[in-house]
Amino acid sequence: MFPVIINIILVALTVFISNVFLITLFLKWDRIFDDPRTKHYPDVTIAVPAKNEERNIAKTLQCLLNLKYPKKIRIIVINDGSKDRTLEIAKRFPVEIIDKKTNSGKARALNDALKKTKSEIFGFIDAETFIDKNALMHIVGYFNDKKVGAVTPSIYIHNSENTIEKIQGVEYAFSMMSKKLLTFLNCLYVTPGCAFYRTDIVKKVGGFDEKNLTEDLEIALHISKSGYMIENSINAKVWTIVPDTVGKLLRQRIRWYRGTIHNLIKYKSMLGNNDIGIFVMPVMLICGMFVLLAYSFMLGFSILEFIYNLLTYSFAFVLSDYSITTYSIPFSQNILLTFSVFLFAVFILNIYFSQKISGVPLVKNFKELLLFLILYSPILAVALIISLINIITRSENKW
Amino acid sequence: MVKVKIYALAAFVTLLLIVSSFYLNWYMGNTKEQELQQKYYSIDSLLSSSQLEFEYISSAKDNCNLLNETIGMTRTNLVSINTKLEEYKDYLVSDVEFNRLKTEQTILYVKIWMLSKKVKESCNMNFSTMLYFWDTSMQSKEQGYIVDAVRNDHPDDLIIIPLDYNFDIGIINLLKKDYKIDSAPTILIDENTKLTGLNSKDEIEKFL
Repeated sequence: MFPVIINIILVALTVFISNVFLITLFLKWDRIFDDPRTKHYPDVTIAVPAKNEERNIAKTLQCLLNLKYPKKIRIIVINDGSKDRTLEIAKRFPVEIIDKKTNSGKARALNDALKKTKSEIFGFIDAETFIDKNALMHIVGYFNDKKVGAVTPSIYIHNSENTIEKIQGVEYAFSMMSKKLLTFLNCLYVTPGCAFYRTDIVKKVGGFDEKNLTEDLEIALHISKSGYMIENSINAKVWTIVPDTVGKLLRQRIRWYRGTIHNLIKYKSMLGNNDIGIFVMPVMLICGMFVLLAYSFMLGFSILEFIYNLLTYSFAFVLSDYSITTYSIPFSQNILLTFSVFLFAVFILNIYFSQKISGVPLVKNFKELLLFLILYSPILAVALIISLINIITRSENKW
Repeated sequence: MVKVKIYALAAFVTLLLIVSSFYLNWYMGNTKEQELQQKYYSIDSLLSSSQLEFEYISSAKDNCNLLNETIGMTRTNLVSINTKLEEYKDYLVSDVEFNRLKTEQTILYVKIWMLSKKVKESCNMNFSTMLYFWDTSMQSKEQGYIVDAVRNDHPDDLIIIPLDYNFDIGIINLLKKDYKIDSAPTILIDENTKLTGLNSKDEIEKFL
């Protein structure tokens, strides 16, 4: 009985979270694609921290130089102790370069660029991320509101050759919608891969935390804690290179989860105190620490059980001469299965709206969608377990 | 304020879903219970009716024509009881209920088998009886298909009595001891031929 109650609580929480997203989606649907028109064009500096990025840096810089913007954009490349031709390639472009002989980490590199920045807006982009030429025009209008501390674009995946990359494509398409919806709740809590900040706010919060594994999460929480909002533009697009093997994906997620756990501890005072602390942090705690471990497997089994029951009863119906009775309804088996059917319906809606918002053909990539549904949660659960073990055993930060 | 409304609405919808899920579960459970009850009565009455038939045949043992006819009907009833009991089991009824019905069924089967032996002798009828001891092994499952095929090919001259080798009741244990049945599947034809393990249709038919 006890595990059943725990399961019902977990599923009920998942249903609640799904409902928050669904209701927000329906209430704010007309504002999803709306970006505010800008009143003026502020000066913009974009930092590109790069370490051993000889394969991507040229494309990243070319995309930045192609950005449509009425004013000149200052681009600063921070060569963070690269041992390849990153510096040599960067020098071919009309950009400023900070050349660091030894690697000091992304946060330090960004802070170095931040110190040299006097412009109103400070942006950064990872050296393996490519920005759309119209992205900045979509983003800059959000800064009309003095309460906006940061704006993030929509992140698409650049490499979608193998299955593991395509599965991440599904994840990124889903997260595009959820990030946008979180902005309506003032709950966007991370600025990954590429983001634009109000420079004075970033300086006011002390810049990027150089000891943090996920400085993009830390700065977002810091900005939010300081009372500013983080916005997102669906129309501003960037493409990033994602891990192409399960091993690399696991390493990336372990780093993310470790960083998330550290930041949740660092910003525990926010819990229950502001919008992120009321919704996202409890959800992260519950989903991340508990649901991801237990529910991902349970959901997997519930869906399998549902399919199994559906098949069994269908076959029983076909092979026998029974009249259709209530036995034919598989989800009457138990409450959890009923919830699973609801969550499955939510998942279908999620697919529909994520596809509509992101433009990623999720239904067409049915195989990846199915693999995402079945395999991704267990993979992420493994990453979370390893992260927790690492934290408990105080293993070195390898990243 | 909008955010508070969203959270409140989400909580309300979640609560509504939980309540409806519980209600749906209760309603379905109730309906299921009623249908199971009906199934139980159906099997129970079939068993009672077959038992009554058996009593009647036993008392009319001088009338060979009637006996022949009734044994044919009983053969059909045997298959029907078996199918219904298997269906019943599929609905995950309690072990107590299931075992009670299964015990009655087994006793009836053995009684029919004993009567068939008597009728065969006293009326000089030309049919065979087969006791088929099965268990849940794959081999028994395969043998079951073969036994079914044999029955289909011999609708009038063979009575097959399936018995669960592992069903722990006195009469099964007695039969196992008496005929030295120590594994399943085992087929006992007309009390004198014992076929152990998986046997083909041709091998079985050789002894009919």
